[in-house]
Amino acid sequence: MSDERSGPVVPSVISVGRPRSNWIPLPRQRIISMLVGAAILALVHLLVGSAWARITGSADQPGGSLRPQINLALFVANLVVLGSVLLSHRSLNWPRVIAYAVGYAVIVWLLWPLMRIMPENALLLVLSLVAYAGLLGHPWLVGYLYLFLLSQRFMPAYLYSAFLLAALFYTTLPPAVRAWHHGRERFVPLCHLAGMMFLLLLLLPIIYFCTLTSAQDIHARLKEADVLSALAVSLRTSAIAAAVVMLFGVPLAYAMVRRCFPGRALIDSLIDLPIVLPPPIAGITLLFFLGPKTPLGRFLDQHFGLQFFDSEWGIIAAQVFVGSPFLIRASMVAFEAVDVRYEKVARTLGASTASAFLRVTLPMSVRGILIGTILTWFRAMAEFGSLRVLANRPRTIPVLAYERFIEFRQSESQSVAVLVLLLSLGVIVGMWIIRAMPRLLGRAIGAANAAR
Amino acid sequence: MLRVEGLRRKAGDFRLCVDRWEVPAGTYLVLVGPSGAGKTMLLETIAGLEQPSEGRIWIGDRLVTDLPSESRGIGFVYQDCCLFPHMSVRQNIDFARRYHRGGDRQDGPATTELAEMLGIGGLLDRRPDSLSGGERQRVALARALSIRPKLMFLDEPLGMLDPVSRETVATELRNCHRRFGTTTIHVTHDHAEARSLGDEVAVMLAGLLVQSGPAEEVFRKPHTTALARFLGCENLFECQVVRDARAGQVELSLGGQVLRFSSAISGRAIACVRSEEVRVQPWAGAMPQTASCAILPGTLIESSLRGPLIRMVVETDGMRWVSLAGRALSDAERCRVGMKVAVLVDAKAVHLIPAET
Repeated sequence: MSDERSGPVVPSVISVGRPRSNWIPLPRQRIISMLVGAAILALVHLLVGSAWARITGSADQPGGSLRPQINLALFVANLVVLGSVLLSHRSLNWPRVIAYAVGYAVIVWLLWPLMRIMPENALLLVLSLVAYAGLLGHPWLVGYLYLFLLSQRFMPAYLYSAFLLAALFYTTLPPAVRAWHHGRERFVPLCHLAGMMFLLLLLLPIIYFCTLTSAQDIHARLKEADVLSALAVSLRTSAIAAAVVMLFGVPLAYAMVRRCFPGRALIDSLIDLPIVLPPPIAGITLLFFLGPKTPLGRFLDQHFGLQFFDSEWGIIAAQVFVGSPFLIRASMVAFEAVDVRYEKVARTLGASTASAFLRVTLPMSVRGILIGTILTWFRAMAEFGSLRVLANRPRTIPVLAYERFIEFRQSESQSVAVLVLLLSLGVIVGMWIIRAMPRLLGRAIGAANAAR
Repeated sequence: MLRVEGLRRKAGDFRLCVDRWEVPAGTYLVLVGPSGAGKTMLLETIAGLEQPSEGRIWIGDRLVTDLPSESRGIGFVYQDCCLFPHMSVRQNIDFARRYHRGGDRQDGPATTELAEMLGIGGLLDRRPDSLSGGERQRVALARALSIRPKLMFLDEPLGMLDPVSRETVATELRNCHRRFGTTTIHVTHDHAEARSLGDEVAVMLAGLLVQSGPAEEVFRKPHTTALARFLGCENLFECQVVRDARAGQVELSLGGQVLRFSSAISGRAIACVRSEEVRVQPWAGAMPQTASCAILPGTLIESSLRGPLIRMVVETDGMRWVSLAGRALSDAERCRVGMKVAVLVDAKAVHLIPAET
């Protein structure tokens, strides 16, 4: 900086000398030891394989002698591992080399029995070795590789569910374990652990179920007309239901938070009624109120052409009913979090009450409202019980999944159910993004400021 | 500038009650009172953010009791600033310019001009959550000034600041007041802040406006003992005042010594002496008595530091005196706990409060 003051500004590129190479220069002896090491490993592999074949007395047994291509692939994989060990460090010490060797041995030990069952599993070994080589610089990530291989070895039937859950634990638990180990704080880590166990019970069936079907299967289902139409009905009706709830629920939530009126506490508890009411009862209630034989149902049919029994209007009515608490509650929490003084300041600055709400309170609580809307939307889409009573046709996705299950049992309903599950997972991801939004945004702004 | 008559408001058990209150134009008034005295509620009611159950409010010549808040032209700054977190500093200051819906709005000073004046010109594109406490307070001030308010309400503006920013923001507040001449009401529970900042001070206790007037007068001559206690007066003694009709003065016996000065009060009264007016020095034998200064022998029983000051407690013949003195200037540092000392009380420093019946 002080240089710039004394003379003309010099572009920084010139002042920097030859760009420093990111590559570590390759010492010849390391390359040689790499090649020799790989050759020795290949030899050992061959010797052990043939010795095994001789002991078991069958040369064509899997694991005995492998096909030349697989042997070649294994040789290359070993070469890659040795290469990354030898070339990724400027200096090597024995403890480190031994640690790498143990890691390598563990992978081989985990996969060798699988190769004996089926020679094609050698490819898994090759892939694992290459991945191992790539992750050497990040021991933390190697953990995931081991988790996968462990699941593969000991729980092949539950491979993906076991791996996903193990990875979840592996990612979230270490701080708790560390705190426990240091003995500073025992209660919270214990709560953490107990909670994670519970989560395991909740997630295991879902993940397992998802792994039972394939992407191709879901793709095939998406070509079927009735699946497509059910999906369209579900998305359309639930979106309309969410919009209706938003239109009336947000003002209700705002009034509940900002005004004190007689019966407020009662209304506050009534908002949750649809959550505690069994869905079929909700459907029956709506049917007795809006059904074709009721006075109101007849009136709406004659004057507006609105029919609620077995129609999309009925679906929307049921969905609005069961979905409303989520948005109203979420909005109330969001509005409560906005100090009323923000509105007061806005009013002293010349905004009317409505304008203060629109310009200040609403933007400040928009995340909560969005999360509530998404919850309501998908609770509406998930509705089944009241639709069976009030509007079984046109079929929504949950109704379709259920009917297929009744008709064909597992095979046909599976992929439809997985489709719904994936939709719900999408919702979870969406809510996660909304929750993380300010943090991500803050980071982006920080980066922009730093750049400036 | 501001006139309030018969204002009443109830919130639960709390009652706000201001019979008559006037604030002259251009004053910097500090409204002081303990937490929960109803200071903020009074300001919010005047600003139209809360509805009074009865009473009338004039701003200038205009009766504003029924006007909505946005048409009253009052700038409001809260303790925690309440900067809109979803807007940049510039948008915050521009808020009134963009969304003003009230009646007669005069165009306030330009945003950049205001920002430069308050030393926040470089922060205009920042978000509120990246600002320091002092910077936020200035932005809030700029935002309130942007409507060119007739009245400015500051609700504990220095409450959440560290001592250094406190000092600079306090200076900034006075500067702004000098530049714009806006009638300002500054709320605080800190009487030191009130004494140093206000031209005028009004004191509020339990929903009632108990006294208002020039700052020094309120602090030296509180009307009630409760008020004297709240304002930090620690030397309160019951005494008998005898009127001497000949000289037009009163006589008061304080610890066996007679002080003579002019006052309108006689009979039973409370003598009130602020601790900074009480001097303590090592006992140097009996001194000649005068009617204008009492010299009382006593024992120093406690001595502690209060920042640059030294606080001493002396017991004299059944009375307990508290003295606050500068460490460097006084003889205080020569006094040790347990020593025999002299307490000097000037007749001018004694303020009499009629005893409550």
